[in-house]
Amino acid sequence: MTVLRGRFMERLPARLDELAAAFAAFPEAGGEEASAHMARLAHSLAGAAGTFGFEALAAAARRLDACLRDPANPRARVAAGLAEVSRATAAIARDGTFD
Amino acid sequence: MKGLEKIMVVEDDADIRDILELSLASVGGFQVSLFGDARSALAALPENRPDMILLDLMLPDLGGLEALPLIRAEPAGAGATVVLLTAMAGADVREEFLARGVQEVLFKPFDPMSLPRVLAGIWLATRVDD
Repeated sequence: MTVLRGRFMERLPARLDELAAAFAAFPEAGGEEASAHMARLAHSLAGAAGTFGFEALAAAARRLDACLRDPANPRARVAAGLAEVSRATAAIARDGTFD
Repeated sequence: MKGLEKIMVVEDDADIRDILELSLASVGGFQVSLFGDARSALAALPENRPDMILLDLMLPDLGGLEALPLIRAEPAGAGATVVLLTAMAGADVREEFLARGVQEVLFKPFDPMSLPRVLAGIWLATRVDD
């Protein structure tokens, strides 16, 4: 389990890069396909982070996922959600959080 | 009644696949086959013939609920117990997915140590009439 958590942490920067790339493709006026892709990445991250016990990151990713599922949310709100995920990821890298 | 032996995992997230393999194969002692997308899992069904399929809701090619009728259309998948995996929470979500034809819904995060026991319980519950 510890090995797998370590692997999850190693893969976190790549996950964040994927989210950032998806956000870069996110048009000002929303866009169903772009938001669905980004929501899938956030959803996946939420599930994995929670399973490995990284609750703050899981919660941030869930909020981003929920934000992306509402087409009424502006790009700025998605950006804020992504920033929150980014901060939670940075905290894990900084603290080496193994609970 | 036949016991639960073969579990097919269809999950695109590599970290979740890894932990499911650890949980189900190493802890649970089940025969586990792992797939990252629905189409490759569907192609492997005739040879694989799983007792249970753990099917992620959000997959890159076909979503779990889109894949479900295709699984049921395959003789090797028609009788399999299908458990949907999702990070969406809520009792209403579970009811909705059960109504769509899956036998149970498993919410992420899950506890990998107790998961084999949970799945064995689902297997028993879905096979009482066998």
